[in-house]
Amino acid sequence: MNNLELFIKYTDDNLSSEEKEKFETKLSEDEKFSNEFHLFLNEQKSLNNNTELDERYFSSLLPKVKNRIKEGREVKNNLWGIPKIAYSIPILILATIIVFNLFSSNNKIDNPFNSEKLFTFFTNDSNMAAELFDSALKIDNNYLLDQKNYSAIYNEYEYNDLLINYVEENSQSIEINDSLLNKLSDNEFNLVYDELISKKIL
Amino acid sequence: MADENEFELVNKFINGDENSFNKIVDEYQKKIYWHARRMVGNHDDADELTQQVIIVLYNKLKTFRFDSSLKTWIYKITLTRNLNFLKKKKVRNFFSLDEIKNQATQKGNDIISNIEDKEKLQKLNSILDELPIKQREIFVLRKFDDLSYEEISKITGKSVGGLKANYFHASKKIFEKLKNYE
Repeated sequence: MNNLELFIKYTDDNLSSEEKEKFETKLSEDEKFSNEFHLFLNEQKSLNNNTELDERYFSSLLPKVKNRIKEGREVKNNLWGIPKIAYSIPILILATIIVFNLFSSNNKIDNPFNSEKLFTFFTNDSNMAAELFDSALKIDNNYLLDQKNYSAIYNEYEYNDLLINYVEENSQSIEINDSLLNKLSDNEFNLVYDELISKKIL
Repeated sequence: MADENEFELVNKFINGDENSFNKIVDEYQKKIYWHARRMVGNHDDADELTQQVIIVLYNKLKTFRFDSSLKTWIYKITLTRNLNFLKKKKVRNFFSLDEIKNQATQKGNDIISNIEDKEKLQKLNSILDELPIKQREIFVLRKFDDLSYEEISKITGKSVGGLKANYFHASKKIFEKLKNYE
C-alpha cells in the first residue's frame, strides 16, 4: 500500500487497529511521512469548501415548485375538456399494453415489447419502428399464453440484437430526437441504457 | 430534524397541512441541491433536478410508510433522478447531440457569486466528471453529504464492503488528479 492509499484508509477509518497503531507511530516518528500526511489533509480540506450560495434561490424555490405542481394539475384537469376521441387513443394504447402484458409472460411491465416508442427511439425511423413493433406482435398468441415459454420466445426473437446492430451500423447518421428521449418512461430508458452498456456501445 | 418530528410532519401533511411540507423542504432542499450540483456539475441542471425531487416528494409523501427514515427515502429519490439524468446525458452525448450536450452550462446561471469558490467547484467538477457515475455517487454521498456507509448502503442497496471499495478507488483517483492539477 502506498502512502496515498494509507492516508485515504486512515482518514476513512478503514485500517485495522494494528495498522492504525503502526500508522500513528510512523506519523510521530517520520517527519517526511507526517508532512506528506498534512499535505493530504489540506487537500482534503480544500475539497470541503464552505461555498456560500445565494439564499434568495432557496427562498424562492418552494413557491416556484408549487406553481409547477399547480400548473401540472391544471393541465391534467384540462385534458378532460378535450373531445373524447383525443384522449381515447392513448387510453386505448395503454389498455392494449396492459392486456398484452397480462397475456404475455411474467407480467414484466418494463419488457420492451410494450413500447413502440422504444423502437422509434432506436431507429428514429417510423417505418422501421412500425415494422419491428408489428413483428413483435406477430408472435403466436397461444405461444405467449404459455408462460413457461416466455423466456424462450424472448431469447428466440432476438429483437434486441436487431436493434443494437441497427444502432451500431447507423450511429453516425441517427438523429435522436431529444423530446422523444424525454418521453420514454424511466423503465424504458433504463432498459435502453443497460442494453447500450451491456453491448459496450456506450 | 428529529425522527419523531419528521413522523409528525409527514402525518400533518397527509392530513392537509401544507406548512408541514414546507418545513420538510426547508430542511432538505440544500442537501438535495448540493448533491445534484456535485453530481451534474452546473446550477441549471441541479436546479431542475432539485425541483423535480421536490415535486416527487409532494406527490409521493402520502404513500411514505416510514419503512426507512425520511432522509433515506429523500436521498433514494434524489439519487434516482440524478442517475437517470446522467445516463440520459451520456446517451445524448453518444449520439452527438451537440446542441443539447452543453445546453444547460451555456445558460451560465449560478447562485455562487464568489469567483474563487466558483473556480474551486469547477475544478472539483472536472475531476468528478472523469469518475464512473457509480463511484462519483458514492464519493459525493460519503465525502460531501457526510453519510455513513450504513446510511449509503440503505439508500443504494449496496453492501458496505462494496461501498468502501468504491469510495477508496474514487478517492485515490481524485487525489491523484488533484496532484496533477497543481
